[in-house]
Order: sequence, then structure tokens, then C-alpha cells
Amino acid sequence: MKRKYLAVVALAVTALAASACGTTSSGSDGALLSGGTFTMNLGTDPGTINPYKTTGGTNRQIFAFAYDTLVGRTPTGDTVPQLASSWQVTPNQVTYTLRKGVTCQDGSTLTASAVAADFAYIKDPATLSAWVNLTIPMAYTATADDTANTVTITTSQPFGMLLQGAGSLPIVCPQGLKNPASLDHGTDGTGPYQVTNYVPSDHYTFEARPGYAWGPGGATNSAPGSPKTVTISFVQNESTSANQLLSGQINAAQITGPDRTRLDANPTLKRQSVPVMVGEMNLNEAPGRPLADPQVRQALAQALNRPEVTKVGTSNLGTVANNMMVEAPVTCGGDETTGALPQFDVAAANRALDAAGWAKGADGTRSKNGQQLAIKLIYQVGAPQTVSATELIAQELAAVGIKANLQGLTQNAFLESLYTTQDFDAYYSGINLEFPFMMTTYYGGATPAKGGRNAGSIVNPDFDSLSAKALSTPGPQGCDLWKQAHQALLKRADVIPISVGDRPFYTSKATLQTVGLFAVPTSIRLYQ
Amino acid sequence: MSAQLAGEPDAGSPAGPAAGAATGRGVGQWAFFVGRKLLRLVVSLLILVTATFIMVHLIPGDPVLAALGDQATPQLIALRRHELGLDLSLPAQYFHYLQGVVTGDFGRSIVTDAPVSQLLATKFPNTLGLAIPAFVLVVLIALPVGLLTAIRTRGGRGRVTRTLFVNITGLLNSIPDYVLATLLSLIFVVAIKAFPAAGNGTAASYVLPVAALVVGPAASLSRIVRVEALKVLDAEYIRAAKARRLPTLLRYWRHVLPNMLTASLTFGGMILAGLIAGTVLVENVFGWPGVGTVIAQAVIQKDYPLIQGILLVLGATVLILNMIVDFVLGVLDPRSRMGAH
Repeated sequence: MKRKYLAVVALAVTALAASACGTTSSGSDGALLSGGTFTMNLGTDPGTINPYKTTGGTNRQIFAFAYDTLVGRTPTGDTVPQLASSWQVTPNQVTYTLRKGVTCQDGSTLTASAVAADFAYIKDPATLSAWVNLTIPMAYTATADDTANTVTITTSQPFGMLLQGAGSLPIVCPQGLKNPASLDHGTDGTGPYQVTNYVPSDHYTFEARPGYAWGPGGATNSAPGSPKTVTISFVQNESTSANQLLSGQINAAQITGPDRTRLDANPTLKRQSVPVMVGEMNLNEAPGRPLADPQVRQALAQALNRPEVTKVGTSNLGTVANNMMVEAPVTCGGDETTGALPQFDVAAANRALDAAGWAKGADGTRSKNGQQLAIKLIYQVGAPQTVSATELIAQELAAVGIKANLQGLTQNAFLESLYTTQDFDAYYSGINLEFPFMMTTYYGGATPAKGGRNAGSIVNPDFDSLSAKALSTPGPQGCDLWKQAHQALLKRADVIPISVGDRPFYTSKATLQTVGLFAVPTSIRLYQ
Repeated sequence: MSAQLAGEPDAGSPAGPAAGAATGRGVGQWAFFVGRKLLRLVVSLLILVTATFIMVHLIPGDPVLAALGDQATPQLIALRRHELGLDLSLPAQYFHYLQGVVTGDFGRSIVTDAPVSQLLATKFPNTLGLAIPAFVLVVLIALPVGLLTAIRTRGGRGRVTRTLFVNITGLLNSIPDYVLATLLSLIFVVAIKAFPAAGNGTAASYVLPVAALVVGPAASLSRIVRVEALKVLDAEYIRAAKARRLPTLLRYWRHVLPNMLTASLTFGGMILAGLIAGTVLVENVFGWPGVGTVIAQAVIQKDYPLIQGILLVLGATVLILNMIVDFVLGVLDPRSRMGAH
């Protein structure tokens, strides 16, 4: 009995050691496999995949397989033709000439009128979609000329990113628009794949659409290595997804937690990095809140050792953020924080709070006029690094006499705190968006109580005026203005970007490219 | 019990009454017994529904906002809340839900909008598909192991066997099923690649999840079986059967096994109920498409109707199983019907 027991233990230890080393492999991709099945795990079933009802991350990844946009973006940031083969741009108008021969799922040809109808649909108060803010954040009209096969978007004021903004709306075909319920778990687009099966809380199955040839830059779904079938499964447990990748049961999954270590050690897997802002302090400046005081915000910013928080918050795998936009390809890159964000200086923070009348008590926490300088710092539970990062932040704030009461919340409760109750003083999270104009609703404009997304009740006249100018300015000059606008927020410590992490896709016997946070369906290649 | 039914003396049973009156009284006892159990079931279910409703609504957060994304317009959020009846008062929502439960309508998932009853109909059989084979294996392992160990260790004999049995079963029982599941995954999925990591697509995919579920309960049930077997093996009627030179196998099959089943059956029923309700973690480790995976997602997403529906079905299953165990015990041991225990 004892000998058998020891043998079993030895076997288990050997197996565990072998799994840590990974399997042997030549490291080459191998021969392409055309017409196979590509299986990708995403977290949980996101519910509706109607592109006009939701802009959630998982939803967007799913409907990216079925819906095209007027223009595409390459991983290097270039704008390329997609449904539109060419375009003409003026400060407040863009005319897209549609590619000929684009078909919908029902075989009908996509017309200019159908595209214009989509733009009208998303801004109609009866069917108002969040895409309005993410595409054209101002009043506009959409007209079509079916003979010339053109769609023209005219804005009420100049918009520097009109081509890319309007060009990023997922285009829904007429039948789907007439019957929106059919889009909840089905599709009606022009994209490379269409939904053929859906099992709630389990998976979607997509099949390739024959003849598709209008992906970004003319990409198709029939290149060597392109899958014929795509299965998107919902597996919440990352360790399970990691095991499936290692055993070759699936082709792709996004892994952000501790399982990355063993996946990185396996040479048979490929990794596609997806940079994301993982740590950012967003502050609530509503009247009566402690952080409505600019001196307190400055002191808070000076108290934070961003490199240290980055090490902890990204398990030493990330970098300190120097720009408010980190989604690749970054539209307006470059260093925004140097010279703008208050530098780490505990002594200066203490002096500033002393000068503002916040006296330290016996427990080290400051108070003024009988009110303690305490803030409610909320964060989303999930990643252990987030908890560690917020604990470090609390320690650093305590060193200058600011007491941080930490509260970890589920996603539901977190969003409720931000957009319903606004019951927070600061939140540690990251806002990840493609274009700088999408940020304006988070740091200016209406609060959630009035239908906006400005959860921090930020009123920064410099940011507002610079954003307004940047909004109407195209190209490098526009980027310069966006940089100045962001720096206006940083100088006032309305927001403190801290760390950039990675939310990589790992692939097994497959490769893919990403743009922004999402895998590009036409870039997927399978290998033997 | 088989000895009692054969007319052999049993010191514990009362003297039997006259046949006709006994039959009438027996039917009356059964009717009262069954009625009492059914009433208890209904009351328990009502408490379960109410407790589930209250608990779910205590979870913080707005599920509609999370489901639609943070960019969702207030109009869309309000419309969705209205569609789901979430803008009604809590008592109104409760009575509306109760009404639905009685008619078999458990509502629709806030996230996927699929009818909860449809989700349960597809997912619950997958959970049973894991729990029932696991239970059968638990019984098939625990009964012979417990009995054989009892035979080997009765009367103070086989101390080494006893020590090993107690320690090994204690150790196996203390390992949480999800830890075992993770370990089995690492060895047999990742390292050896002998079994699939997730899903229920093939027969091979049942092996590891069932193994993870079986180990602990088999260990604890075998201990119960051994204790019960030891009591029965020392009973007078067993010594009498041995004295009559009844063949060993027949002696164990007809006299030992039936009499040691009472406590084992009770514990076995609890194990089955526990397996059905407790596969959550193992299902999550193996991506098993059962109610355990769904409820884990539903709690995070605060999908009220789904959480309530699943908890109701799982709770009802546990209650019904316990009731069946009571009925079977009532047949095997009439004293339990009279409340003698």
C-alpha cells in the first residue's frame, strides 16, 4: 500500500513538473488549416448582441464577426477602405462611396439608403443608441444617393475625426433594423460570418458567408487558414480556459490573471498583446465631496507613487501610463503626463494640506472644521492585483493624512455607484476608448443624473474649451489640442492615469490580430 | 429489518395488533405520514421562494445597467427595467413572481432574455448527468468498502486496516471537490492530455468531473457504512444465522445489508442532494454546461429571475429527495412512520 502510494505521488509530481515546463515544440506555426473551426472563449454570455443596443466589450467582440464598418483601422492606425471604397472629407461633411457588390445575410445588396437609415436610427429618440456618442458626438444629418452609391454625413459643426468616427458605426442591414428583436441573438449584417446557432449561457456558432471580400483593406474570409466555422464559448473560469488552450481544445482566449504565467511558459502558444489602462484614479468633484477641493486633489496626486502602484497593480508586467489613451493603435500618442500631472512629492503634499488648514489628528488622519479628510475609494473586484494596488494607494494616501475607505464591488454595484447613486469619492479603474473625442462625456458635460456620463461631476473650463477646439480640428493639430485638453485635466488632478497593463489573447494553433481591444475576424488563421 | 419481517424476534418492536384493525391503522398511518410530508414540502418551498427572493434583491448593483453597458442611454435602461417589471415595488415584484412560479413561468433572464424555464430545461439535465453517475459510483464504492472494512475490523481486529481506513477516508473527505478538480485537471488534462479540459461533448469528458465529485462523499459514506455494519454484525440474529450455518454470502445479502441500510440510506440521500446542489464549483472548473455554471454567472450579473429559478429548482430537488428518502425509510422501517425514531 505504501509503495503504491509513493508511486502515485511520484507520478503526480512528475506530471506537474512536466506541465510547468510545457510540451516540446519546434515553435513554428505549421501548415495553414483552411475551412476549420476556430473556437474562442469569452467570459460570460453578455446578453443581447444587437449592436445598437449595447457597446459592452464582450458584445462588441461577438458582433464584430457579423457586422462591418464603413472604414477599417489597421493595427498601425491607418484608415483603410471597408464598406466604403473611397471618401471625401471636409470639416463638417464626409461622403462615403460604397463598395459595389456588398451583400447582406439575406443576399440583398447593401444600399446607400440602408446605411443612411442606420445613422438616422441611432439618433432617433425612440431608438437612441449609445453609438451616437461613440461615432458623431454632435448633431448631424445622413443622406444617401443610391444611384451614385454614396452616403453623406453632415455635422452641425466641424468635426476633425468625422471620417473615423462615422466610419466606425457597425452597419446593420434593413431586415434587422426593421426587426430589432431578431438581432438580440441573431445577426443581420454584411460581415464575414453570421450566427447559425445560439445556446444561452453556452455559445454562439458562426458560419462563414460565401463570397465575402470586403473586409478592412479588402480582406476576405476565405484566405488560406481562414476558419469556416467560429464558435464563441462562454467560460467564466480563466483557469479552465487556460487548460483548454494548453490541451488544444480551444484556439483563443483572453487571459488576464495568474494563469498567464504558465501560458507564457508554453512555447506552443502565441500571445497577442492588448494594452489597456488598468489603473486610473477618477475623482468625484461633486459639491460637498472632499475632492471638490482642488488643493486636496493636488495633494492626493502628489501622494501617489505611480511606478510603485504600477508594479503592484500589474504584477510587475505593466508600465506607468503617460497618456490618457492607451488602446492600440493610439490615435494621438506621446507623453501627456510629464509637466502636467503633479509629481510624486509627499513633503509637498503635506505642506499643501497644512496650508489649506487640514490638521493631522492623533491617528494621522487630517481634519478641518470637524470634518475628517476621508474618501470612499471604490474598485471592481476580480483581479487580485487590483485589491493590492488599492491597498497600496490607501497606504500612500494615509502617509499624507488622507484616509481612504476601500470598497470592492461587483461590476453591477460598481456601475450603479458611478452612474446611479454617484456615491464614491474616487474610483480605481481604467477607461479604455478608441478615440479622444469619446472621452469628453466622461470628463465634462452632463452628470448621470442628467443623462450624461460625467460621474465625477467635473467642470473644467479649460478642458471643455480645448476639447471643443480639438473636436473640430483634424490631423496632427487636432492631436495637439487633445493633448492640451487632457493636460488640462491632469494639471487639476481631475484624473490620475497610473498604469498600463495587458489583456492579451493567447492562441493555440491559430493567430489573430487585434485593433483596439478586439480581435479582427478576418485576421484569424488556423494551423494544423 | 429482514429478520423482523421473517418473524424472528426483535427486542425493539412492539407486539402486533389483530390483522384487520392493523391494516386499517396501517393505511391511516401512511395517509397521515404522506400528508404530513407533503404539507412540509409545500411550506418549505414557500419559505425557499421567499428567502431566495429577498436574498437576491439584497445583492448590490443594477443588473440592467451592467447588462446594457455603461454607455447605455437612460431611456434604454428605463425601458428595459420596465420590460422586466423592475420598476414595480418589491412586494409587487414578489407576488408577480409567486404567481409565475405557480403557473410554471419563472420569468426571463435579464442578461440573455431567454426564458428561465428554457434555460433550466437545457442546463439542469446536464447537472443531473453529473450528479447521478457520481452518486451511483459513491454507493457502489462505499457499500462494499465499508462492509468489507467492517468485517475485517470487527471485534477489535485489523487495527492497521482500521487506522489506514480512518485516516485515508478522513483525508479524502477533507479535500474540497474544487481543489481535487483543479488537481485532476492539471495532471490529466494539461500534463497527460488524457481527458478534455471542459464541456460535456464526449464520454471522456465525464471522467474527471465525476471523479472529483465522488471521492469525498464515497469516503464519508463508507465510514457510515462501516459503523452501521459493525452494529449489525454484532446483532443476535446475525449470530443466530451464523449458528444455523447460513452460507456467508447469503447471510450478508439477506440479513446484514438490509439492516445496515437505514442510516446509510439517510446519509446517501443527503449526499445525492448535496451532489445536485453542490456541483457549482466543479462545473465551473470543467466549464460544464449545468446550472452550477449558470448560477455563478447569474450571481455576478445579478440576474434575479435566473438566480431565483435555479435556487428554486435546486431547493425543490433537495426537498423532494429528502421526502423520497423519508418514504423509503418508512417502507423499510415502519417505526419511522410512527415517529419512533
